[in-house]
Parts: sequence; C-alpha cells; structure tokens
Amino acid sequence: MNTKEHSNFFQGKVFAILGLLILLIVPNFVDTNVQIVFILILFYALCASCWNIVCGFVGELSLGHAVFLGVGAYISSLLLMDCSLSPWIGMFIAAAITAVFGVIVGLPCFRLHGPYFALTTIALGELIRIFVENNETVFGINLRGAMGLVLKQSGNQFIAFEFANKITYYYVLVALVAVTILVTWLIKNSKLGFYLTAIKSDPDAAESLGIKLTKYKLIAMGISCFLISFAGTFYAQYFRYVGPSRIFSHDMSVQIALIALVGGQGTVFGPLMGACLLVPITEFLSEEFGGTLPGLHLFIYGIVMILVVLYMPRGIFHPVTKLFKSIEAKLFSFGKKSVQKGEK
Amino acid sequence: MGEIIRLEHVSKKFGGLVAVDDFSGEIETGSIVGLIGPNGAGKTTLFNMMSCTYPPTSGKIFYKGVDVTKARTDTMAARGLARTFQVTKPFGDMTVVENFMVGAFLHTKDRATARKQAEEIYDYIGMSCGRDKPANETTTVDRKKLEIGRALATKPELLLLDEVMAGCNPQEKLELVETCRKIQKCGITLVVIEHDIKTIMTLCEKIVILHRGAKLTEGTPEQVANDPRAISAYLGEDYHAGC
Repeated sequence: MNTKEHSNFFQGKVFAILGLLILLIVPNFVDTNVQIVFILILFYALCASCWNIVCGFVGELSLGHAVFLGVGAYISSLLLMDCSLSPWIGMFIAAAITAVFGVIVGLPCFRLHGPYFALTTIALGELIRIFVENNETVFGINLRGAMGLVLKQSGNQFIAFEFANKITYYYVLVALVAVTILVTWLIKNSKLGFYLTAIKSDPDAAESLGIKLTKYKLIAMGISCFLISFAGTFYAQYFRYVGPSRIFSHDMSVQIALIALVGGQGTVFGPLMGACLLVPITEFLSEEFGGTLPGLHLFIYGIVMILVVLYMPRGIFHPVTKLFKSIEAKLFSFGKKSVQKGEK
Repeated sequence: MGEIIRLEHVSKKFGGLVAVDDFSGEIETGSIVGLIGPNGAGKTTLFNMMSCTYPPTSGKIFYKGVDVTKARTDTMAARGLARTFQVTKPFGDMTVVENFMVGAFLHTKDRATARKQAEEIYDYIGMSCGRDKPANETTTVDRKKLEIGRALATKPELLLLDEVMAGCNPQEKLELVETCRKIQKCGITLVVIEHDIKTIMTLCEKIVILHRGAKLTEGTPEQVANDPRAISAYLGEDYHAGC
C-alpha cells in the first residue's frame, strides 16, 4: 500500500525531480566555466520568476523590469560601499525600498493596458538608465554616474557576501530561486492568485465581482520588486561591478521578459524551464561561434523565440510537462503491468 | 418591504447620443423585475449605471438609501449588488468551480472555504458540465449559468441579469426561469433584461419598458401587455392579438 502511494506521488514528476537534482548536484562536479553557465541559468530564472509574479499573472508585458533589478543592486552596493553595511542586511533594506519604488511606479503604469503599458515601462527603463548615467551625485548620494559601482575585493568573507569559489554563489542562488518559486506557488494557490488570474482573463468581470484591480496589481508588483531586488544584490556581489549601461539596459529587461514568456506565463516552474532552455543556448552559441560568426547566437536565439511563440504561444511549460508525462508512462507501463499481475 | 435601489432622473449621454433620458424608478426588495425594450433602448446602459460601471451624466442613484451615484464598481459587490454580462465573460483559464471561487473570495480569504462555497453554488445552479471543466470549453447555456453562479458566489442582495437566456433553446430557457425563481425564493431581488417576451411575462412580477432611453410604461405583465403605447412601440399588434 505504501509503495503504491509512493508511486502515485512521483507519477508524472520523475523528470521534474530528475531536473531539479541535476540543478542541485551536477554543478559540484563540473569545471568553473560550466558552473558560470549554471549560475547564469539560475540568475535569469530568478529574474524571470519575479517578472512572472506580476506580469505573468496579470497578463501585462513589462519591458522595464531591469529597473528594479538595478535599483536593488545599487542600493545594497551603495550601503556596502558608503556605509559598510553587510549585503546580507543591505539586501533586505534594498528589497523594501525597491518594493515601495515599484508600487509608486506601478500606480500610474497600471492605469494603462497592452502596448501602452509595455511602452511606458520601456520609457521608464530608459529614463532611469540615462538619469543614472548622467548624474554623479543625487541628493548627496554618490551614484558615480556612468562609471558604475566597483565593489572592492576583500577575499572569501561570508559576512561580505563574497566567496572564493563559484559553487557557494551558486547555492545562494539556489536558495533565492527556491524562495521565489515557493512564493509563486503560494500566490497561485491563494486568493491573490485567483484574483490576478481573473483580472488577466477579464478585468470588467473581475471588477464586477468586487475585485479592486489596482490594489491587487500593486500587491503583486510589490512582491515582485521585493524579490527581484535580491537578484540585483546577487548580481552586484557576484560580478563585483554594477554598471548602469548593463543593469538598467533594455536588453536586460527584454531578456527577463522573454525567458518568462518562453517558459510559460503564470506557471510556477515555467520561468525556470525557460531559463534552462534559453540561457545555455545563448552561452553555448556565443562561446562556440562568437569568434567565427559573430552574432550567430542572436540569430539562433531569435529563431528559437519565433518557433516557441508560433507553436507554443502559452510557453513551453505545458507541452514539455505533457511530453515528459507520456514518455514516463511508456517507460514505466511495463513495470506497472507486472505489479498488477502479481497482485492478482 | 421598501425599495432596494432607486433611480432619480438619471440620464446618460455618450457625446451627442442620449442613451438614457431622465429615467426614474425604483425596485422593491425581494421582487423580480423585467426590463425590456428594443435594441439600443438603453437597457444595458441602465445596468451599467446601477452597477456603477460609469456614472450617470445627471441624476442620482440610491442603493439601500445610500447615494452611490459616484461609487466604484468594485465597492458595489461588497454592498450586495452583483451582475452578469450580456456577452459572457468567463475566466477562461480557470475551471468552472474556480470561476465561482473568485466570486466567493469576496467574503473569505480561506481557499478551502471558497472551494466549498463554490461547489455548493455549482450544485445549486444545476450545472452538468463537470466542476473541473475549463470555463472556455463550456456550452452557451453553461456559460450563462456560470455568469449567474459567479455573481451568486458574492452573496448578493440584488442581482442584475443581462440577457441570460439569449441564445438558449426553449428547454434551456425553462431551466433558467426555474433557476431565477429559486434565486428569488432565497430573498434575492432580481432585475432581468430579456428579449423573449413570453418568458419574461411569465417570470416577472413587474415589467418596465424602455424606449429610446426613456421609460415608456411599467406595471404588471397584464397591464403592460394591454398598454397601447407598449404595443405600438415594442410588443406589436400580433402579440396583443395573441393574448
């Protein structure tokens, strides 16, 4: 009886568990270059998951989410450089400020829909980037303009969020991604998740059922910005450099949104799946062909994007899980039949 | 009994078009009122103003004695007013019961409670498509019931039904009439927009005819059926003869 329940629990999840185990264990046994790819996968998975919390559930396309990533990175780094505050504490202060900033920005933006919302978020992203690039100090805070923030190397210190080996960074990311996915799962199964999905389906009907549209969108925005700020802090600590032209860039925003879109909007594991597909493609291609055929990786990246949007407009999450389940059913059907015969 | 909602000299203009012109009237608590009229008479506009989707250009609306002329739509559900839409708006990504849960979440935060209430609604409304069927795969009549059920899940006192029977066959219409009666017995006031005169004459206690945005006549089904203005503007001589 016990074994039967067990097999039911794992049914349809074998590949998911396998995938998660690979993400957890394999980076221990590969060389640094591959570890870097794993770190990038999880970094983008983290950003895309945060994007998904607001945009995936509400169905609006934000193309300015890198702003919140950058704000988080800047605040925790400035606290470290100018106030010598440990990033472990700084990241929470940064997260709180980013969340408030996100809600303030969201207030006017969420009055718009569709392309107008997307355009406004692009404008926001560019506005912040140009502002930071061109201002050395703002209200006495030394932003250091286009130079960006260079974090001093202090060696292997846990308190300073600085590690000598990549693998420790990787496990910090694993924890952050796990928290974000857990939060996404909790949202999806709560009143908030139901309300956001309702707003996405039909705002008028949702409003007639007593749902305060702006309120719930802003709650989601706050949570999303809070979590993406952690990714910003990680970015700063890992690369030891925060440059406005990269972290506030439009490219970054688009990449975050695309990974979530390819993975599957409004799903819990979709963004992670999207990152697992797209990031290795980008990294592999730019490494292999970056010298001989510059730009090829962008070309192939584009083709993958077009194929996914054409044939799986709701993301790869549902088709892929379906495929895994059917393969699994075929693989294990023989074992089950023999068990049934044995019972008889 | 008293009235649940009262409209005083309500008008709505969309640019130069007068959709509703100086409409006054009230709805008795616990009654079932039919709102009929030709296309473009302003029936749905009247609904939209009652549910505060947009405010009237002039005039005032009182819900349970409180001025709600400038209230927001989402606050009306909490006050006990629910509505359905003429063009059904199911939450397509969700299942039938999940649609009801969205309504039920108005009064509870707990997912299990909402689920329980939603399943009760599903049984109450007499749907047969399956609780966990995706909402965008349901039939026309089930979509209409879905709209009613979702509105009922917010535990309303006044329910506005906008052409719930349109597109249904006679058998399905009978089912929906029974559902409306059942809802009324629970103490919920109903306002029904409908084009099928026979159905609405049997269902409603009181009928209001709208014509070009203004109230043409109102009264019991017999009074309305015999009103010469109603016959010439909307019902037609044939209907009168048929009675």
